[in-house]
Amino acid sequence: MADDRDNHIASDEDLLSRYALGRLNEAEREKVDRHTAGCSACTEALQREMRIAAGVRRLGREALKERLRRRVATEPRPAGRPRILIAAALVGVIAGLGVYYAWFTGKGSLSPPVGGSPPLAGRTESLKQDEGNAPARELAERVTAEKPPESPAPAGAHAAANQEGSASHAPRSADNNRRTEPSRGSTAASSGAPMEEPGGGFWSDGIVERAVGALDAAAARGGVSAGEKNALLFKSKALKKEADQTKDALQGQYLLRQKPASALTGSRERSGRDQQTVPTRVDQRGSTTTMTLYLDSLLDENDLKRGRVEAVSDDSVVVTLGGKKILYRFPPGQGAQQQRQK
Amino acid sequence: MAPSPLFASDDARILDRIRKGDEGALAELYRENRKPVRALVTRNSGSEDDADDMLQEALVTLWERVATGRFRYSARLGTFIYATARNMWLRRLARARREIPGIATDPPADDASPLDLMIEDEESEIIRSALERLGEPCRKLLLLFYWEEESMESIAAQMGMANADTVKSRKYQCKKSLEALIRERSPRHG
Repeated sequence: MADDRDNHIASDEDLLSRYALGRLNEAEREKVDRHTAGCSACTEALQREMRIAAGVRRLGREALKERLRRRVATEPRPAGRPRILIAAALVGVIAGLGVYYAWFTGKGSLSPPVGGSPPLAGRTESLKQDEGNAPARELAERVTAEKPPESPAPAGAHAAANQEGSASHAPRSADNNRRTEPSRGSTAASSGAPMEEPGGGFWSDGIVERAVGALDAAAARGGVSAGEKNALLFKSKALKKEADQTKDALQGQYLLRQKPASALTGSRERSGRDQQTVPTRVDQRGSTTTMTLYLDSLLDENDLKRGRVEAVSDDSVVVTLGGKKILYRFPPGQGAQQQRQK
Repeated sequence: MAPSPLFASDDARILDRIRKGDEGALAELYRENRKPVRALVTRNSGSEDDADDMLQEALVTLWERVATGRFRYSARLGTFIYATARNMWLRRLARARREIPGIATDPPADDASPLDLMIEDEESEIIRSALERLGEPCRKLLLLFYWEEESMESIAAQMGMANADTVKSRKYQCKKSLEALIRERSPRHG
């Protein structure tokens, strides 16, 4: 950061970039502005940086718009349109039959009924009213004044992200080695699906997240490569960032409970002794989701009080309990995205 | 199986898909919001193509904000998209010095950063062309840094570079190459 006029910002790449991307705080920005006011070389460097940033961003936007255009061009037309076409086709068929009947039997008339509207007219008029969408417009005009709704705020867990789609360089930290079977040997387990139970709840195994803290452990051992360090730092930061953004909004909807692993029976008893997984029963009552975790080592009242659901994604939930992160991942076909498509 | 009880909000799910880079989420939002945006634009001097363009711009803005961690969920996504498309259309109309009956004529600029507004189309085309000639991996690196606003550490991990310092050094070289290509087309950028 340029602290005075002798310290030119023209050669400070990091500062130029952060200024261009709007990543400086107000005080930093004011310092840069004061400095550039008396330094033409710095002003030029800053303008070059901003033009490049703007150009690259525009390229990114245009590329994404083009992909979006191509994608929607290959998909069905908007929902209202096919219904109109079907209605028009039906009207056409009925009208055709009527004409044919009138011509064939010699009864009736080919002129439109007096005082009545063609069947499509009423439909067209109602479509115009629909398209006005006054509530949406009113909402839009209030958008800056609205308080956050009670529905869940945006949430995400990068821990479960997969490389999919064409876009994306978004942060990902997939761990493909995690298993999601709630119990060994059962049909559901072999298919990777959570076990369903009467009453709408189900069982799932949480995987104790080991990425956070792994860097310290590796450093303590004295051996961690630059690549490993980057990957671990990236993963830890991504998880932490997600948690910071989502915990407050999500916390009110989840109730965490604990039971001793010894309370497990049958096939789940074995998984309850697995230190890397946490057998968990998930139940929905009203708007609250209760997650009952079966794990002896975390049976501490304070741990429980501090426990929280930190992040939710299409196919995963991250819970922090007793200083550990526990990842629940749902297999393909059972996540929220798939549920919505059914 | 009964619906998963863990996910109560469609918006949260859509946003999370965007965070994961799933462009199908944008297509879904496009379908859901096409009708009101078309109504707005076509009733205010625009064509259906204008409306589709505004909707695409609004969706890209949403994508950009979510991907860079700048999105704040203060209203339903449909409301955000409608308001953003509306503001963009108002701005375009204002630029074309047209009158807009019935709605405010001072469009808030909160849906576009000054950075996005600072370059003209001609200049943008010069930079775009230079970026295309720049080739990989510089193009990808600059996109990750300036558009997706990834950290140096993240770029290092994604591009298989040793560390953040390597990325910084490479970015500097890429920028210099880009500036040279831009100067070829437009000497005033020197």
